[in-house]
Amino acid sequence: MGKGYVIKRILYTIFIFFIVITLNFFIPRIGVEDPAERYYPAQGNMTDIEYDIIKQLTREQYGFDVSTFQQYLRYLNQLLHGDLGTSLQAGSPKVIDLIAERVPWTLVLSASTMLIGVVFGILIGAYAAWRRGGWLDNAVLSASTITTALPGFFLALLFSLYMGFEWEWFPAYTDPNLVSSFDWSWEAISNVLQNAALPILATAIGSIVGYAQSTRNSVISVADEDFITTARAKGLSNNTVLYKHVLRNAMLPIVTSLGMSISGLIGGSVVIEQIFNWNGMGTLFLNANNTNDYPLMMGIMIFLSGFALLANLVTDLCYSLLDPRVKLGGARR
Amino acid sequence: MKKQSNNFFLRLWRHPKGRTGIIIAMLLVFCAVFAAYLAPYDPYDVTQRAEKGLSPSWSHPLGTTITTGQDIFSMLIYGTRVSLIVGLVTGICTAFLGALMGLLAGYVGGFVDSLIMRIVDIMLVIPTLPLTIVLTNIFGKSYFMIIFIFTVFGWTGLARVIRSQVLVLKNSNYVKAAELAGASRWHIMFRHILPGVTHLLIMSTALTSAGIMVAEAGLSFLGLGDPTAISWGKMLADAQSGGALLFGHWWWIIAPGIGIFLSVFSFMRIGLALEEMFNPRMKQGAGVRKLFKSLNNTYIQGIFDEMNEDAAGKPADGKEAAKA
Amino acid sequence: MNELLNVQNLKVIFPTERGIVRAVEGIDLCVHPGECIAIVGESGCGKSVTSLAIMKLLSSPPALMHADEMTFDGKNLLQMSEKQMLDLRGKDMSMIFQDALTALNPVMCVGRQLDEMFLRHTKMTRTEAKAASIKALRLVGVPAPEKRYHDYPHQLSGGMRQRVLIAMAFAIKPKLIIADEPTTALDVTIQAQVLDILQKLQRENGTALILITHDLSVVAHMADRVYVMYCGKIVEHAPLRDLFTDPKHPYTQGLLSSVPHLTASSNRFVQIPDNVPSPLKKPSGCYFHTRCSHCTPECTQCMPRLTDVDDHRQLRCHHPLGGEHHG
Repeated sequence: MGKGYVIKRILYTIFIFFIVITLNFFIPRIGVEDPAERYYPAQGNMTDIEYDIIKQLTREQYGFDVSTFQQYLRYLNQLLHGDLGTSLQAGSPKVIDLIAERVPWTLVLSASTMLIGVVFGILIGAYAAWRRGGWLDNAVLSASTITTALPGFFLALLFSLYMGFEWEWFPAYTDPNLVSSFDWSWEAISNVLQNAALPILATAIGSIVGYAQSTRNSVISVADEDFITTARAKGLSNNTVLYKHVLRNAMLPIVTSLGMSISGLIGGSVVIEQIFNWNGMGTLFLNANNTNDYPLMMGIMIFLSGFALLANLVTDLCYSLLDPRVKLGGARR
Repeated sequence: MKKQSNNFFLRLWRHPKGRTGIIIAMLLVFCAVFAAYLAPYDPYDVTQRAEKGLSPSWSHPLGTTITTGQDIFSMLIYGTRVSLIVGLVTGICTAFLGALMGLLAGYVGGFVDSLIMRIVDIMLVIPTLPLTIVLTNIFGKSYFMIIFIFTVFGWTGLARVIRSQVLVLKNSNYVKAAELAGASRWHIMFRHILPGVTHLLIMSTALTSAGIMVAEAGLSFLGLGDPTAISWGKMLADAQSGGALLFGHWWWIIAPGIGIFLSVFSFMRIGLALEEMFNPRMKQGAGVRKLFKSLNNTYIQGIFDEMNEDAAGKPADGKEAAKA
Repeated sequence: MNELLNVQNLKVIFPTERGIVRAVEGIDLCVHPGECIAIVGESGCGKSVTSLAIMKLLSSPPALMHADEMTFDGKNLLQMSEKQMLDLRGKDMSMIFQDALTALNPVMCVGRQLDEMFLRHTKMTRTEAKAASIKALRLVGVPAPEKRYHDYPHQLSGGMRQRVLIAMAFAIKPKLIIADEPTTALDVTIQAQVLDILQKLQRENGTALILITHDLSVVAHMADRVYVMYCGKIVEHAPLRDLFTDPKHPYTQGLLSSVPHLTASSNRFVQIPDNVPSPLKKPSGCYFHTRCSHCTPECTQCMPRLTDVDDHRQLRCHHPLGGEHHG
């Protein structure tokens, strides 16, 4: 992997990010003359005069009183300084602070789900493929039809119904004071784990099966390659062939899907968070939507796209380290 | 052309996965079309509401909702409509858009290609669900919006597949011949290359539809669908907020879940069957295993014996009747 | 006669959903130490499957295999456990595959792939193995082997890759090497170089070689004896010279005349008409009758036996070419 490739890839990422930012800027301006109308939609009991005053105030407060192009430049400048904007919430908190507060809580769910999925999924998938047609292989195949056809949130509801309400194994709704009372004590940590158990369980199943299936398919297709026959003709044992020749090649597509799940780590659990009342990014966004908090919504969108871009970039660079065939400047996905 | 398509459906029907898929999908379509006749009550009609929170009984096979007293079984049947319409329409639209973009990128190439590929890269990083939420906030909640957004964001994967296939076909002799004969670009694209990727489009329509049905359920669950329509996702949301969990009314949750499962399952089966039909390599493995188990030793021995040198020199006696 | 490899009545079938594919239909082979034999036939005639079957590398499923006898160097391969086979493969018999790009692991540098041979079958340490690999690379004429050691397969040219495979096959100085179309993927000039190296190493080490190919010019270059295979059966078996000067089977003659510069008598480039029949639907009688210009009703009904023409030759044909009719 050459330096040129890395630089080119980084520049391209910045270029795409710039376009995403531009699109984002125009979203609250779709269909209205004045973004102030988005920020404060007219209420039924307001007179036109009252509303005009509110709009005027909003315009001044958020700088909509200059031309759109100037607003755009100001927006870019603001982002360049790492400022994602100011929320409309009481007390005008900074968007970036609100996000920073929520991200760890979302990660508790999504990162542990991914970790469980990756570890168990790859192990199960590799074993299933190596014993093709065995019981585990069949189990993976049938499980994958079921989990792809059953939405994760439906499973979550079922778990909540039985393990939460009926059998009372785990809390069905997240403790509302979970975030505010968290102080790194053992008690608090175990409280978090208990509350996170159901959402993690509900999503981890799909994640395990997903990784198991893609690992299985990948291992099977690699196992049919000629170089595996070569390796076996060398007299290498089955296990050596599996670990030294099959898995390394079979991991390549897995790295790509790993990158995709990393890019969804932060924004991908809206529904699950909603079901369990989990105070993460998903609930933050839904609340912002319910209160028409456009600066917060747009800030989150920028943050999520930026994170996804970064994840893609890192994945691509890792991939080119793992696969010597990716040449300089070879865009591949 | 007609004969070809007949043949195609026949092949799908003969495929075990395809057949289960078609049967279930047909049942669902039947439910959707004749919902008014199949459902014992009209869940949209406020006058046809019963006592709230009834358990399953003969008159209400799946009970009634705790919040409104609507018949859950009727809601389940009516819910088929939303799932199928949103899934199928999006699947078809995505196939069209993906085909067009893939063809343009692959066949026209150059600037158009890199432009489309840049758009794909942008689409991939924009968080779809948050964007959907924002757009429904702006344009109001409707299924049209959902179909529109899923189409706009859903074509990228297919476009890539079509593009790489087109790049292969572009270098094939018949396309070269057509180019030499002076056929126009559009003519070649739609008359010569498009037929070469139709199978991918049909397959993608089935698989995309299945994926969209799951996604639609999720959006309706979040309350982003048409608030007046009855859909399975919204039923689940109502069940959750209406206390089905608290009172243990599992039927209110299981029913829409099964609806979603069946619709997604059937379309996935059809998609997978098509995939195996078009790409036989996919099939190996399980099929051959099963075949191996079904063979017995005497049969195998018989085949081996037929090959013996003693068998040569004698006239053939129809031994070629291989097991089908 | 003490053969190195003796295969009697080898059969391989592949059950598929569309029927049973009879890939190899009972062939006999023998190879003497240091000898080079060739198995010739068009693609799909079962020659590659034969080689995998000899190495016992066919996995079941999808393949089913049977042989009356399969001995190698005095050992009965049929009764050997997989563990014993592991020690045999690479060490006593090894293989050279057709397409070196797909036959080498794309994400492992070629040197490491060579090392594996030494690490597996000798007591060398990693550094010793590396030295041995570089030496082996030099032996097959890879320039600057210390550098090429660290290259990945895609960074090498086709000829270099094939040399790496040859170096790998000869690494432990096996008694038998099976080369499956070793030069098919290469340019003609490179082909000749690679064949020279193959022949040189074979002579120097006294290795027996089974050369599997569809290309008779390669055979002319290397082989002592030739087996001609068609649709899973051996149709002719003869010493090289006899086969080239006096082919008895119409198929052999067809193969010979499709190699232009080999036949002095005719300058025409002759092709055998039609294609190889599908292995799922082989013709009745003699498998070749659908493409044979000497076909008679007898040929369409009855499979000829493989019979001895003389002490060194065998033939499977009702109407042998070249004067006197046999049987």
